[in-house]
Amino acid sequence: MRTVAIHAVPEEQLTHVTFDATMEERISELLTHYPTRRAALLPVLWLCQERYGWIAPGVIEAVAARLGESPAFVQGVVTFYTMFYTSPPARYVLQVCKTLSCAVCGGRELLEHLKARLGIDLGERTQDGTFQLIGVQCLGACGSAPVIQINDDYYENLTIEQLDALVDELSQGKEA
Amino acid sequence: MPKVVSVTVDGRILAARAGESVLELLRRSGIWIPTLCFDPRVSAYGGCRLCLVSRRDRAGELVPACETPVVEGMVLETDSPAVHRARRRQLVLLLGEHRLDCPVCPTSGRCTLELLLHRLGIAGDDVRRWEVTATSGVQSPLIVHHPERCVLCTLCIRLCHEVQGVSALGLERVDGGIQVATFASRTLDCEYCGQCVAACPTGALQLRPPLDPVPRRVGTGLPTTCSLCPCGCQLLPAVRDGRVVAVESQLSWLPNRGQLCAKGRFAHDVLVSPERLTSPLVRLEGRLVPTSWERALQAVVEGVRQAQAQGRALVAFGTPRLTCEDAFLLQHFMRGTVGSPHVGVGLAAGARALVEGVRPVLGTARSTADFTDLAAADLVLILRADPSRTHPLVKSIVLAGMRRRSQQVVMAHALSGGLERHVDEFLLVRPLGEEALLYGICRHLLTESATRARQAAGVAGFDQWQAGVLHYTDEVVQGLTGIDPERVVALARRLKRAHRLVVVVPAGMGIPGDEAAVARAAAGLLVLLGCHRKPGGGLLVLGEKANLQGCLDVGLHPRLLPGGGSAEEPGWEPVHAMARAGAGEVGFLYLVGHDPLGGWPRATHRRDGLEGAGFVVVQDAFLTKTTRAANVVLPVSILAEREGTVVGADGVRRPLHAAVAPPPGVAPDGEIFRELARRLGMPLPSKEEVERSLAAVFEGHLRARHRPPLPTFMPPPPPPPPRTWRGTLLDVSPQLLHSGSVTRYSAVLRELAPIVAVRMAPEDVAAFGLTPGGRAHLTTGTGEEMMMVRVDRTVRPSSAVVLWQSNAEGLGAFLAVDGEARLVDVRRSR
Repeated sequence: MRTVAIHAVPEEQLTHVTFDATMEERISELLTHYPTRRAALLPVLWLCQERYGWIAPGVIEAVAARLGESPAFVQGVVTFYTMFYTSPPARYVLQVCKTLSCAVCGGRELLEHLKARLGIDLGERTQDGTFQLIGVQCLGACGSAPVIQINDDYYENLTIEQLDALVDELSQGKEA
Repeated sequence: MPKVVSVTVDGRILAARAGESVLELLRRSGIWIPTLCFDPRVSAYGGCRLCLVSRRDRAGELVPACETPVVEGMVLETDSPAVHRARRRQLVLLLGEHRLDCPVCPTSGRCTLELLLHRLGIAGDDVRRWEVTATSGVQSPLIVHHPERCVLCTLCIRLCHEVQGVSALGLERVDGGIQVATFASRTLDCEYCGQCVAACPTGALQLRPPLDPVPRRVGTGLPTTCSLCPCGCQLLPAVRDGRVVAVESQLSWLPNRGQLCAKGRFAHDVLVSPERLTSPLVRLEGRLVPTSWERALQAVVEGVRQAQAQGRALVAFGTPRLTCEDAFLLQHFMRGTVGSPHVGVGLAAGARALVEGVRPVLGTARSTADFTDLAAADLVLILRADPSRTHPLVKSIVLAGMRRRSQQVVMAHALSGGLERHVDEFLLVRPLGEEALLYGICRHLLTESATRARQAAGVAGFDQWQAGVLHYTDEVVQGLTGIDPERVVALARRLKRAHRLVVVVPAGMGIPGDEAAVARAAAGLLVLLGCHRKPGGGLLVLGEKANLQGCLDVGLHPRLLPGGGSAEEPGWEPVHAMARAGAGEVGFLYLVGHDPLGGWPRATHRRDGLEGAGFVVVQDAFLTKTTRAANVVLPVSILAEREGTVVGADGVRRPLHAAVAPPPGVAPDGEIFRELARRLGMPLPSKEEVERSLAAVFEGHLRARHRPPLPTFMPPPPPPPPRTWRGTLLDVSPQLLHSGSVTRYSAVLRELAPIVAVRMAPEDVAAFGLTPGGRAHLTTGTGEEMMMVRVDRTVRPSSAVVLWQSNAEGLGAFLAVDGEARLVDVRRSR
């Protein structure tokens, strides 16, 4: 399994976003699945996050213009869902499950270990921009607790040793 | 047909309309239900949960009345202890989000939340006091935002979205929770209608002082009609110490249902503008000097007598802002007292559309559709301009129609505006192309539908009309409109399918195209479709100024008599009259509320006419550009100082009630006409006599609605040669905040929208190397001007929006005749 690093496009490059042909094609295709343009908002936002790494204000404006919505409305949707990044994320976003099953199976220790090892608190990121630590609610994989989601991938039944190896690997720039 | 559903409420059986909500039924039946987040103008939200009622047919389940549709056999309780308990609990929860600082809150006393606290009997002890802190999410020159008082009812957001179609506000998650915010915390850049503040049920959104004076309810006057455009909005000026300090409206008032635009709500500061004239002026040794009314009126009388003695013509133009009464008096003064047929509304946008466009085809110089028809139409075709810039209420009516999904809207014009992203179809027509588009549609209808053609063949003038229409072939229409023939065909079919079609023709100085020609073509199309006088169908011509319709109704037009008859000896049309004046044939020129040097285009003989006229009287509230040429200037009362009636674009006559007295030294227009007539020895009819004449006029119109004159097809002109447009279109048509005359004197509106500014799309500003707030140099073949650059996202690329009267000579001086379209060269200025 390879966890793909997030490459967040810097905000300066996202002030006036125009969708390229590939994006435009994928958006047009998405629109065919929904009765109204507004209904396609969430999938279009996912597409943008995949493409730009995060949802910059310039991206919100472009999406709003494409779907005939107002930027204020799109901003409301983007900020409602915590999984849309409204600031550029680190290359690897470590999402530690804080819900009961994981917590009793060692999730709490994993979190404390990560905090100590990376020297950051929840919601913070390392100075080199490699890791970002956030606590999340149940990831729906209680059977294999404790679980950490890194970007889009699950790492299950983790021990502190496995986690350390994983962090070593990721921080060396290699993709796990 | 709406079905009737029977619902039991508190033991009574009520008849409900199928499809309505429980709340609508209860409110209609006089049952009090508390709400914070409900407003009949927008969709139900179910957010405040104060309208909970108990369903006895479902084991007492508590449901929100606003979001629950009535169902046959429903049994409801609205007044049980359980219901009250639930509402009180809900209100206490809401208060957890609300900083209770009523003693220092300016909204206290007219706050819905405060009222409900008292009404539901919540004591201070019930409320768990939370320290609510938040930072403002809405920055605006007009509005103060206190998110710590916000209960997230989202009324502001829904009104902005559904009624205004602006959607400048939304919800945003911030560190402290969720709050109302603009996009990216930008300063609120919207239509400044103030609806969000008016609807806020708490003190979360407030107007900045001094726009919202405290205390508010002091010396409140009677509701009156807005004089700034012909929508006929009803508003209530709040008066303190003899001054209008704020303007409000109410949900129950028609036609605007509590809505106002920035002009109606904020332009009242014009009344106390330091630039207002407060004394008559006469020209002495080349300079205008203040004088007494006695001497000013005597000078005018002498001017009239001299012109009469010299045998030169006497001409009067009255602004279509005059009330019906004053307009009647002015035409009576000219035709009766002075004995001259040369009286009219002057160069007034919409007058030609009604008199030369609608009248020849439909028999009367009146729109055949009103706002009720507009709301009931299943298809609305809007031509020439975007009503969100020219007539904001019309925009809200069609937005509501589209939201109900009972209406489709097609818009075709060459300008920019905010409505196009909401409409079902927008055709970007080349400048001046609307007439060709309409005839192109007619040609398709004639060739595709033999039935239509047969039905229309009975109408007078059909053969000649058809012969003319057939010249508008696909190729011709495409060359003039830039629209693909397939789209024209599709539009023709869409129009044919419509049962109730309203065609809207907005008028305004600077809108490209001949308003009369477009109105005539639209009237022909409606006759062909049989929709010209149907309920829910017809032609709606929107004049620019408040009482254009009323002025025409009472005969303030060189060709019309009171009641709509033709004048036996027609007077001169405005441009012709000015040309005659230039030739020295006019001895007396009376300009009531007209400013040719500032407000008329160049080739109207405005300059030589004023120079050649023997004696010029200007009657206005401000010192206009034309006063330079005046012999006498008479100051008049305006807006909320006036009494009388005005007729809106919808043909409805509405009253004006003076809320404040005019400043000392200022007189109403009608009084001046009376005084002059008395001095000339032929007094004007008394108030009662005028009202009797007007009553007859308007009863006549009412009768004509039921027994309408037969239509006549007017042959279209031969198609002009095709023209392509490359470059930047100069757009001097009305802007929402300014129409070009009175509103320019409002300090509030000037701050929101500077007058000497060119508004352009962001991409154009970048492409031309301009800087927002910097200066640009505008050049056409006939004029040049420096303007401040403003970025406006509603402006279409390749166009530059400038106010008609922005510069010294009126930017209209760039244009030779009204309706002309012109390209402009925009460069960075250093």
